[in-house]
Amino acid sequence: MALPGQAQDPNVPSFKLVLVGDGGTGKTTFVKRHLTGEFEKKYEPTIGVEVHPLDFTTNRGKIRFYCWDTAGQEKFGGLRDGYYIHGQCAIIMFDVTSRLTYKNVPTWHRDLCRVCENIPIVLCGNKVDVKNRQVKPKQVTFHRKKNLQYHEISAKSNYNYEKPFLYLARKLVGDPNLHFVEQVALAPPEVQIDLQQQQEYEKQLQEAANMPLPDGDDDDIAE
Amino acid sequence: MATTNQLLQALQALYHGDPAVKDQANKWLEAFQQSTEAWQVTNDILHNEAAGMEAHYFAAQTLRTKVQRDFEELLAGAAVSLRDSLLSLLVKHCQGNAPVRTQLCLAVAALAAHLPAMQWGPSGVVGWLVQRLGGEPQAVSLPCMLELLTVLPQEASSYQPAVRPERRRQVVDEMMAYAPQALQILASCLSAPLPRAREQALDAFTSWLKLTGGMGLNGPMLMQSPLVRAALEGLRSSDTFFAAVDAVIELIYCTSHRGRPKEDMAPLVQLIVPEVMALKPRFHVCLQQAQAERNGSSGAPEGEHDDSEEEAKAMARLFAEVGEAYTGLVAEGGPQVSAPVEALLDVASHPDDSICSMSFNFWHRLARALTIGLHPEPLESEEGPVSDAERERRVALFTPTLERLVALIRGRVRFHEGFDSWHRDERQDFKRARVAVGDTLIDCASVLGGGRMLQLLVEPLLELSKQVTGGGAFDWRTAEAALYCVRAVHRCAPLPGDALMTSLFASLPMLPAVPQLQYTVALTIGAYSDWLADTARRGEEGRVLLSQLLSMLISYLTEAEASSASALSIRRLCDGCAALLAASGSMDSLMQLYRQIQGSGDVAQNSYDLDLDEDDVQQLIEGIALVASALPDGQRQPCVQQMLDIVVQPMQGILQAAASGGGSAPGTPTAGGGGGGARSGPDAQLSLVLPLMERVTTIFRAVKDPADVAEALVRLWPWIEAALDRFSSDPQAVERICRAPRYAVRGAGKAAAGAVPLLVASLPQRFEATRQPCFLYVASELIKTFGDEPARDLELGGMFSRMLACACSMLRSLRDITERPDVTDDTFLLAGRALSYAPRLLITPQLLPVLLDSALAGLLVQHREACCSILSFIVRLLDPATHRNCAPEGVGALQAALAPRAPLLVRLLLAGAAGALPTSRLVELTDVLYALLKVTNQNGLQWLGEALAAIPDDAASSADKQRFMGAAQRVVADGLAVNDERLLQQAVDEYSELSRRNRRALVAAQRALLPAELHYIVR
Repeated sequence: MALPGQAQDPNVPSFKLVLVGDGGTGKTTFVKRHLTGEFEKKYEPTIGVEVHPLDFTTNRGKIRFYCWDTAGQEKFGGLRDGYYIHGQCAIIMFDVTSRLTYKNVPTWHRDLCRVCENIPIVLCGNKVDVKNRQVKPKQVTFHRKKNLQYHEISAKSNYNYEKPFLYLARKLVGDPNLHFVEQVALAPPEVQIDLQQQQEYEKQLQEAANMPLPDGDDDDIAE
Repeated sequence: MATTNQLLQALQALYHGDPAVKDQANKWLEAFQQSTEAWQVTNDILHNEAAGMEAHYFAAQTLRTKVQRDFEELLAGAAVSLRDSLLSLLVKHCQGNAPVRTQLCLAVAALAAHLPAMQWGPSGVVGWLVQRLGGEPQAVSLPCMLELLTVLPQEASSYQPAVRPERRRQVVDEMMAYAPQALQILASCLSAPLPRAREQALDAFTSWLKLTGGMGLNGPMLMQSPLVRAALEGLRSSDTFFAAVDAVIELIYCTSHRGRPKEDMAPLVQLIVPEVMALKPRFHVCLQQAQAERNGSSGAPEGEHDDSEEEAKAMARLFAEVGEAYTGLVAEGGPQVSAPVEALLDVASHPDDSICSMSFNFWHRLARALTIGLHPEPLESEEGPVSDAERERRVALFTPTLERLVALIRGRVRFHEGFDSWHRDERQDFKRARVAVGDTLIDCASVLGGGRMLQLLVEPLLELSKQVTGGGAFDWRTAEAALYCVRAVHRCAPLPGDALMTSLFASLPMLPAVPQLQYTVALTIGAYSDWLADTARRGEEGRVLLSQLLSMLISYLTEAEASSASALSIRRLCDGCAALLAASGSMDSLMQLYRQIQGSGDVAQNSYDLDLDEDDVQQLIEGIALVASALPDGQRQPCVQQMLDIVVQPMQGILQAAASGGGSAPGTPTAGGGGGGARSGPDAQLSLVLPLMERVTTIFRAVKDPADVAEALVRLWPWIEAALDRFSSDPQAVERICRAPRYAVRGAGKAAAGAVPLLVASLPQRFEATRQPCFLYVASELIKTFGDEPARDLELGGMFSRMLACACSMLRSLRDITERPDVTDDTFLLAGRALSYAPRLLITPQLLPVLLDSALAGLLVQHREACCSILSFIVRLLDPATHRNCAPEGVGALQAALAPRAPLLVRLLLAGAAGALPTSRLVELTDVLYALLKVTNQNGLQWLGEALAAIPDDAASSADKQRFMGAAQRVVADGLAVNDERLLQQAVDEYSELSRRNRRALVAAQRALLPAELHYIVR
């Protein structure tokens, strides 16, 4: 699976990661945070599939994910489960601001499991930076299933960017103590919901707890 | 013509080639899947044993896709030979690769969606399969049958097969009817001599339970089913454990309704629950193992740990599902509830946060069930009201349980000794877990009450205090954890003046100076600002406490770890206690703080200032402005003005220096934000303007008196303009600066009248020059505030028409709109505001047609917000309320603009529903069509009829179109008084499903509906 300019080092374990989920949930943006650090404001749907190598350095050496970023919207074609063969791990993405995308998670999960039995899968609730959340953490229970882990993420703010990869790496390598040793180079966050600092983190949560109806910037579209 | 070889090459390239080839291969394979040759080529490959696993898989997947999507390509009568061919392929591959077999089974399931039950014979598809596979050896027939019986129910409601909506409903009914037959077959497979027969039979059983939700399978029937027994027994076998868990959970769902067992299922529930509860000893083993491991004495090898964790998770899930399914019954507190409740307490004590937190939903539901009628927003599943006496009985019954729960989980929030050396991810996990524990403590507090809860949460503190008195060391982590919990439940605070709470707060200033502890102390104070305010209003003791705590928070600002928390809590205190602080003479010390922080944050110039983040500075400014706002008339105005002057003066200096040639020329991009202290020179100075301007905005937002804000806006306007000039080509900076006038107008309301001439002169010019959408937003605030005053039509109308014309000139085509979703969004927001507050400004023969053209051009934009803005604008335009607010000439202008565009509008809406937009837009598309039909009646029907007529028959038959028209006619006939949008929504959903059933229909419908210039979007 060597890519040009990325000569495959036989000593670097690499894994095929399948990234699925409804269209517009932020799959491509999520991958691009790692590759180029850019955050896409415009929405250009993925057509078919795009494959990107994503490298991480762990306390057990380097690890590479070949990330198959697939089209979520049927209109934009693709071979859908035609890409899943040899998939060793997967991320299912939904958008916490859209209930429909969560409703479709079981279908994505089933389609994956039909091709790749017993692979570790991370369920990611994206866009937790958006104020108008439609899927609350308590409503997310799908990950109680076997071999599934749930993470809330925000591609826009880099929040929890590494978490899904960490879980997958631990499961794939079979080492619950594996961790990433170098920070992945990400662009500065677009919005700051997570400055990786205790203060900021808890401040936000505290704010959220106290503001059921925040007076924000986009609160007045409907009046 | 595609050949097998080409296909194999393309697959090699897709799975193993480099990116450029991959892309090409992907396109080729997509085209191949859509070609008619694919039927033959895939068949050949699947018959060629040497083709290899990848080729077999892809061929099977393609064949499945063809049966699902392109069944219409086959000649009439070909279905029977397809069926035979699929079955022989399935038999051939049944012992090969599992994914290949699965795809072939899915192909059979897809065929079952196309072919009605009758065509399979008297006992439908299931009977036919039994008969057909009956002739094969058991080693072949069993695995095939098991997998077919798994995917048939799973696929029953799949949207993949290209069938018409009415057939789709039939498929579900047909499949549901097969359930008893299928369960019988599966039961007979349980003891089959196959390695995974039992497991697969249970998986299939789960699928049928999921499909039926228990409908058609009554309690007695299930009670007697060997599958139910197998599922329950399977919980005890390591081979079938996980499959059994899934099946039992599905059974639990089937037996319950709104938190209780269904009537006919009660005996089954009696059977299930004890079997699930029998897992408790096994869960205890996992629990002990996990606890031992947590304490560093694990004997288990890594692999086993993994299994044990998944096992514990599965058992916890079972316990949680039992609890959640029957919460209503549990809350009644009968004798049988203690086992599930105990099991969930065990789950809550598991050291792994992800397992522990599985119980949290149950505790939440239980707390809700115990406080029925007390919650402002009742749950949908909530039962009817219970008497106060009954509620008290239930609360009393569960109080010991919830007190145990509190004792179990309160310690989870305690910082681990090695926390600082943990990896960043682990620290984050811990904090997330703390928040979840906090939520559950809130649930407990809602039942136990704030007073009792506080007693429970300070228990560890009292214990600690005893230890310290006895000469032990002070364990700050225990203290921090207790305060964290107290903070979490602040919404259930005890009564104002509560003695325990008061003494807790009074003790805070005496705690040792540990940064993490100070941090939590600070947040706790902020969380209880309302309680502190209420307590201070009751007497001198409370006022002294308040002032002590405020001083302590201010002193914490110098501590790096606690400064953010302190800033936040100072703001909270200022907000909750503004009047008290204003009246008690605290303003002087607050103003001193205000001056002190000016050189901090992003304006930091030297190392003598407080080292604060800009966010913290903003919090403090907001808090102090809130207290200033509470000063009496006469004191308030000079104080607010002084606060503004302190911020504005340095900004003026910088802008003046830049204007006199010191800085870069206006229009040159300038770095925004960032600490200016590291750099020197005019450019570095200039970057300070942005945080300073944001401080002005913060004051605008916090000051309560409209006149104060209005006065300040007029006075500062030249400086806002100067800043805008300076940063005109930096979109982010412009947006940050524009927040100042926007919030000022919002806060000042009508009092901002004096600023209107300034803004209407400036905004259009700036928007034309920079094309930044934030100017549209500021303009929309003006329209909202002053739109109802016809006397202002001249000035507001001039601004509005210039800005809208300019925006529309940027939004002429779908490509334009795709490029500028932000401008689109704000343009239609502005237009929508005009419809609400000043329709006469928009509904003119000059403006409305141009705007509608932009709306039509962008109607099919993929960007969610931009698309929804356009659609909701049109709905509002069509709203009869808008018409009522229009003068007669306005109604004329509206009709004149709408009529010639409506046919295109309808075609675009149908194209959107047919596949040009994602299905998640169907609701908004229907809103528009519904509004149009309700106000244009017969004309609307005619436009719809014409659009439907354009769609070729192979996309939608005349019967399909007739059904759609029928719903539309009904909507028109019912008139405005009847809300029957549901009817139209169903019709649109069905039509969408129909058009999306396969590519051929999708393309045909869109090409027929779209104007030629948009054909490029049809893929």
